[in-house]
Amino acid sequence: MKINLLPKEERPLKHSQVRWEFLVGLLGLVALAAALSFSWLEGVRVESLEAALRDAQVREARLQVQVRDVNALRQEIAALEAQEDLLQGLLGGTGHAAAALGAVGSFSLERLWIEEVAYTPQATTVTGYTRDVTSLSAYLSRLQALGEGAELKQAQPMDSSDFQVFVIEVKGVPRVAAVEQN
Amino acid sequence: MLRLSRIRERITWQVVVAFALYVAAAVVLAARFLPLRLKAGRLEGELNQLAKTEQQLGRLLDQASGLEARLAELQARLDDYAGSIPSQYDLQKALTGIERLAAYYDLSVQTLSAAPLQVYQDGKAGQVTLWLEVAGGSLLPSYLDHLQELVPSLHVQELNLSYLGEGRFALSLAGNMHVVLVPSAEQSSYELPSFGARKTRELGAQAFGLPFDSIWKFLQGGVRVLGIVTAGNEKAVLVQENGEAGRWLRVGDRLNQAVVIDISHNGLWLDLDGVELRLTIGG
Repeated sequence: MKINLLPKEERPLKHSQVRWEFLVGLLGLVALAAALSFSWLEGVRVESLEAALRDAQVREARLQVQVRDVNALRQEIAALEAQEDLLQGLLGGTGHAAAALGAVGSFSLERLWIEEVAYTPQATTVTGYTRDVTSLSAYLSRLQALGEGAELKQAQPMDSSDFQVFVIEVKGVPRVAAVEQN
Repeated sequence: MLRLSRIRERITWQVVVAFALYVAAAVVLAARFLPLRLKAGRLEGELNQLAKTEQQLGRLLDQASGLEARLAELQARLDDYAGSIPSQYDLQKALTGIERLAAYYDLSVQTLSAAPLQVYQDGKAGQVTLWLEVAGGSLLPSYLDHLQELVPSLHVQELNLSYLGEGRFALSLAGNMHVVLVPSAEQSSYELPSFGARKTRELGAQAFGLPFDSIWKFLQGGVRVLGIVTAGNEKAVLVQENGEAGRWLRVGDRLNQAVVIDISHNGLWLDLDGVELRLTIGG
């Protein structure tokens, strides 16, 4: 019979047994390795993020330059638009007057004569005379079809004659004229 | 004391190494990993912010081509305006154009005058009042139509058209010609356009008659028929005008603006440019 006189801690272990100090040390080693690995990975991630950030900053700087150009373009457009508004405000022309004259002075009716046509941007006034009231009615109807409104302002029979002197006012620009202008 | 010595006995080099490993792992985590983690988070935040900014800038830049097209379009239109709206230095050129265009339509210019320039719009523009009187045929509306192309900044204030007889008309126009103000004559690019084809907006000469006063004069005893003589096919009428000595007239003769078109047994027919009047003896 063999008696082991060594203290319990110093006795050799069985093959299947592991010393607790070894396990704790191994765990510590694993923890250190893990900490180092995660730190390295995080460092790599930070580096790639920094590179991406640098790229993005370069891109942004480039874009800012382009945006400055676009803003300058906008300012130029605004200045040109103001100039265009000014020039458009100067435009008028004699086209409306031409169309109005053409519209009221192109009908030829029996026994009705136009004496004068006066045009302003607000109204066209036709002065004339007739020997036939039905011709006057026909002329008035034609003018009414042309304009925003044609009104017989005066129809005065001339004493001891079959003549009637008339004044017709056509408001605005005759519709036909306005369409032609547009 | 016994416990302390027992603990001291149990702290072996293996335990110290294991403890050192844990401490090292903790130090690595605290001193390296966590700051890196925080930095990565901050960098990600900055990157997200930059991405958003980039998107916004990109959207702004997407409009660039549209803006460039708009700029080109505006510049082209302004060039057109500059070529068609006179400056204060182009008054004479515009007036010459107005006269030449009148000649192009066989019209005669009776009056063409301009008032001094009035400046407005904070010195960017001005206006010159124009007076124009022309006489000519039935193409007067065509002339006005064409004038629109020549001086598109002429605003008609008042226009009068009257009939002169025999297919001729008189037109008077008062208007304001607006001009752009430029620092020097060299900066004006106003050009008179070539006239091209004539416009075809015509007045119906048949629709117009002489002023009623000229007709009224005949009707109110200004012209009196004193007698008629018939000899075979020949007829003559004795007419007195405004109390003057009588005149013998035959068919085709003129009496002022009227033409004798027929003589009957008791009177005559006159044609006043399309208006027929019958005057009788003692009538």
